[in-house]
Amino acid sequence: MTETVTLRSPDAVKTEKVGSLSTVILVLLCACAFGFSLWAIHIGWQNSIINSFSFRQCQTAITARSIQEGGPLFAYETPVLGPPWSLPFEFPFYQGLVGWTARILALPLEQVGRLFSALFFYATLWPAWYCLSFLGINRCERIIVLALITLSPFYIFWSRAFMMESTAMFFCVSYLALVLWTLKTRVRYWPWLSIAVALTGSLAGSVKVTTYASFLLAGTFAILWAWWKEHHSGSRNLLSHVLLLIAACIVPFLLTTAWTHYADNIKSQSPMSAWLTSKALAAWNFGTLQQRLQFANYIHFGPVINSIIGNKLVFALIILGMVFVPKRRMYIMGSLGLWSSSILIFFNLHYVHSYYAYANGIFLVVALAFVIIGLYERNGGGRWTAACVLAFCMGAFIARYLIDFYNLQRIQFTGTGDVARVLTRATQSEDVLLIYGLDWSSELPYLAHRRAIMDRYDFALRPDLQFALSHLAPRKLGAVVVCGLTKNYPEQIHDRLASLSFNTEIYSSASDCDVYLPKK
Amino acid sequence: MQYLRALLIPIFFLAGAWSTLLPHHNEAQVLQILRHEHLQVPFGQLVLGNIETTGNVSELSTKRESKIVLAGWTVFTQLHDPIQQLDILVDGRHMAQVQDFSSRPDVADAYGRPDFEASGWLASFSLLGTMPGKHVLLVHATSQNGNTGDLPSLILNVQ
Repeated sequence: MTETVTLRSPDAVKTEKVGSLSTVILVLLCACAFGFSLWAIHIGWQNSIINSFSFRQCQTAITARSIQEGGPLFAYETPVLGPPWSLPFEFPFYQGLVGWTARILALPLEQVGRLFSALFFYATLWPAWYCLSFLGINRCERIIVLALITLSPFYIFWSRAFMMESTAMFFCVSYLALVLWTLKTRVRYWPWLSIAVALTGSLAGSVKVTTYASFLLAGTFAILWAWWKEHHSGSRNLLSHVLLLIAACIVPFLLTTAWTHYADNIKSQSPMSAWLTSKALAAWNFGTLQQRLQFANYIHFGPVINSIIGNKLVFALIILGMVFVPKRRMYIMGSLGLWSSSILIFFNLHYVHSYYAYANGIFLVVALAFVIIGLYERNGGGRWTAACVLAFCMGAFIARYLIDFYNLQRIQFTGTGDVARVLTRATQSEDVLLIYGLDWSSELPYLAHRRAIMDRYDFALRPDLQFALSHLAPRKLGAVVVCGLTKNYPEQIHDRLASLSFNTEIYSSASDCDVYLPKK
Repeated sequence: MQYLRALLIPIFFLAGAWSTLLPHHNEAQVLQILRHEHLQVPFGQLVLGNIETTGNVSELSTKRESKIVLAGWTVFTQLHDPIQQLDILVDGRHMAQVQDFSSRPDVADAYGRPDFEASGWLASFSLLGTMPGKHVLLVHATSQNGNTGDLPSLILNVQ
């Protein structure tokens, strides 16, 4: 009989004990992170959606409500720029899901919107888990990454907004996980996985192309890298890589382009919305070379970075990690590269709208997580260092959430709610509002539950406004609303009201807006 | 020993929170960006700008022999219609022209309009030949699409 004896030195046993305690502490910290995230995301759950970027949240909500009320799905309505009311931008997966759920289950629309937004955010952790697994990250380390993502103050706040950002993120991360899975297990499930990659990529691209862009880069890079490695190892399996490249890049690109073309065609049907086609907005979306060359413009991203990872010291930790965590240096640099790629592609959007960081902020958090993972992998003292750095980051994240977002969630903002109530009372449900001074924000039409023509220019009767007014039938103009600084043009207002046969006396004033009603 | 190390965890947690709370003075700026609170472009106003040499006064006094240096910023509020040229007129007489515009990230930041960045300008001209007395100084702007507009005029008191 042979007996196997494992010899272990006392030092080894000691290291294991230290390592296991630090691992337990790391896991406990991660559990606290998940707990805090769930608590924070529910703050102000019943509050209105006009706390931040109400322009965008209400635009999505008014669309979801149109679908809820039986409106068209693909040519979905955003009734703020006059007939024919359809104004599609993104593929309406999220809007449709929210609208139909609210309709079928008779639930309040805004809470359903929040719920799906939060569900997609937490669901993203599932494909993210597999992405990390395919990258060779072990279970304990994967938990660190996911804990940091869920604790990011920026993600907590925007994952409860009435927006499709988390839906797009879910499909993007799923797409990347499927690409990595296909590369790993190509032979057996290859055709099915390729179809899944093409579908998920197409959905991700059409739900939010700005989110998909950096994931498309990541997927393409992964395929080319795998091909390069195989090529140098003597394998000649080029065909499968080409086919995967078609499924992962060409098909999503074509389908996203087709959707954009379709949306542009609909927007071109009215001169009021023709300026919103992708071609007309190209400069707005991509920005200029000059913008990218101005260093001062990058400082503008500081507050957004703080809201994602707490503060600048944490950002400095990532940079230091590239130097002192050589084992994960490539991962950190890759994550930072993908984070910055989205900004560099859609510079102006990121510059103007802080919430666009939802698309790429995840890579910044992952870069930070790789620093902690790199420390964790050093064993013994390294694990304690990792636990301390994780605790530091968690402190920074939670403090940032409490400073920047807690009150935004907790306070019930009213916005144009007061004038919306006046309009709901004074007009019929099928009446249309002519609104001045609020750009083309959907907030007031959404809150008043009325269709609108938002005139964002001046009081002139331009051809596009004439088009909108002449195509109103069978609906009619129920009120003219003049808001903010536009109220300082009494003569022009008088002329406009007179030409529309409206009373020139103010019916009611609220929310810095004057309401005028038609002559009886 | 490892239990002592465990005590470091709350210390690092508090240090992380403290490091975030420290630059608290920045909160207003952060909230402005997060809540998208920017200055609004006045409705219907095609041209925005300021002659900063004069501060908030509407009259500028100068000597007849002197050289005037004016600085400021000017933008056209419509999208994709940047400023191309600025002409400075005194009583309708052309005094100076500006075609190079410097970076004004503060203007772009204040309005949340990155296209407002290339809006800074500097102009200098001599008042030789200008009679003593009060004159109207006008800054006339032209955009790339051919739109034109004026900044609020100044009274130039030549002594």
